[in-house]
Amino acid sequence: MKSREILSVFILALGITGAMLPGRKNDAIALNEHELLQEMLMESNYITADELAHLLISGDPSIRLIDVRSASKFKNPLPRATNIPLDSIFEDNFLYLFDQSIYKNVIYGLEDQQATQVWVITKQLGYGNNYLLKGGLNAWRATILDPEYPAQTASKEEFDLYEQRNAAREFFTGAKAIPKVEFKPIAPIQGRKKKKVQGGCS
Amino acid sequence: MGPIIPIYEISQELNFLLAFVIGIGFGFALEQAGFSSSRKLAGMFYGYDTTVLKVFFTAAIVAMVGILFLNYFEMMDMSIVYVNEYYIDSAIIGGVIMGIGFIIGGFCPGTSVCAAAIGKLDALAYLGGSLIGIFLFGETYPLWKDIYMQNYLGGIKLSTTLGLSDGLMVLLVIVAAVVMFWVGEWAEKRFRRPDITKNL
Amino acid sequence: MNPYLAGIILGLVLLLSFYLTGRGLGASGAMKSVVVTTIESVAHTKAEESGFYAKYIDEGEHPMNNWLVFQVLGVVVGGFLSGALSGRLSIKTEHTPNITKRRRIIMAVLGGALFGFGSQFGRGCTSGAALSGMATLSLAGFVTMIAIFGTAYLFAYFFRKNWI
Repeated sequence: MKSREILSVFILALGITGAMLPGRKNDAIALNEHELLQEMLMESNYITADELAHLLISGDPSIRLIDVRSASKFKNPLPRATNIPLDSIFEDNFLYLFDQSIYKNVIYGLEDQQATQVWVITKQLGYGNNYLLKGGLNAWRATILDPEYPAQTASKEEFDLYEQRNAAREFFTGAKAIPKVEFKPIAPIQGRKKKKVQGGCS
Repeated sequence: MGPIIPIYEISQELNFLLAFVIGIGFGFALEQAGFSSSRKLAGMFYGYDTTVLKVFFTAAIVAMVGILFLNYFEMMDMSIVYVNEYYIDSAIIGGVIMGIGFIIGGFCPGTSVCAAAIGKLDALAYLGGSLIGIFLFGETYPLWKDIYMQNYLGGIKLSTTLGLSDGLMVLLVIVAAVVMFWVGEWAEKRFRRPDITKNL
Repeated sequence: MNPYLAGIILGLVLLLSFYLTGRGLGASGAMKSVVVTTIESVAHTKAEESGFYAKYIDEGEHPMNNWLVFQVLGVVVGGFLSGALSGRLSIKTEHTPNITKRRRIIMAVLGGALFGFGSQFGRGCTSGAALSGMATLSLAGFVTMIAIFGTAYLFAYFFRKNWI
């Protein structure tokens, strides 16, 4: 037999075998539903408005705010936030902003929903250092920009919290300047190490 | 489980050493296939020598089937493996320019390195030319930037686009290749140029 | 060597590359490293400002310190070994009797320049984009492969004098 015929028979047999095998997803970095749910319930992936206010006031340079609202709705953002609408992440190749180990990205939208979508994408791709602002911009406004005065019967802690929030409000709205706290940036934690190989000729 | 180096975080130096060894295999296979001759490569477009078609598709199919089975037996994690990113416009425009370059120059970058290694001066000239071409692209990059970045679809697979399983996709490519091998050997008889092929 | 056998060897090398490193083979990427290195050493600030070169130098690593560069060095050695084994080592310019040596060299430079330009536009050449891309069933690989070979067939008629 000619070599072409031998090869043809051989690769056709292999191909038919391959086509009959059931498809298998063999993804080690992509999280399954269970793992993803676990990650979403983990407090360490969230940052509360109070914590964020503290970090911003102390001038932590490692914080990068990412606003995922669409460009038309990008109004009154947090100070120095970058606007990266959900749909532009793939279109304009903004994914590199999420795949890094220099900044702590705090992702937020008006509420949790959109920001969570972005965050899930970054998790599935195996990127680290991405956090969600709990409750989004609405929670920020409710707690920091417009803190509620505690009831008369509230504990001392609640009054302390109110004091802090009020101070933060003054800081962010410019009502009254408060002294800057000296802050040492903490090196961000390394994310999952396993990530996609860079290849090709480009 | 593969791919070994990214998963087990093997050192950069060993990675480069492996690159060198893989490169030796690559160069050896290319040269043995006869890709160090531009007239043999060009023969594919005139039908008198279809070695390029045979080698190219056999190699692609061997790797394709290998990846399919390695993935099936959980010996390779396909989620980490690099899948070329698809930018519709730039892939087509780049491909067309490369096609013209191929028929004029008679090599592609890989084969020209291989041919230059055995002393072909035209391959050396081709290599120099490709450096000039890359330089020109770098210099005029701002002009092409928009087209270069347009219509990004990510690292998607043909099988996903067509809605087929990977296995079925591989089988279709194999069937197409078997037909092409047959046509190729027919063409070699039909457009035979013994004066050229006997020198190669 | 029988082309099918050579194809199987090439395919196994490609598969080994995927299995070991998670990426395929390439060639034009290494040439780009050479260009970027030259530009950077000649005009450092210009390279840093250019949107194209800056991508490859900002990581603080030398652009020649690159996987593909070592792989292409291997291709040189592998090609040389194979040529030596098969007795094909000789300094010559290959061309049809219909054209002069000078014309062949000019055409090679011209073709190389087009291919180099196109490989940057298309993010890879026949090895990096078409062959390795097809092995992973990537759409980009198939499209690039069809574009390269399809165009070459379309234009083959106009350049027949150079080859036959």
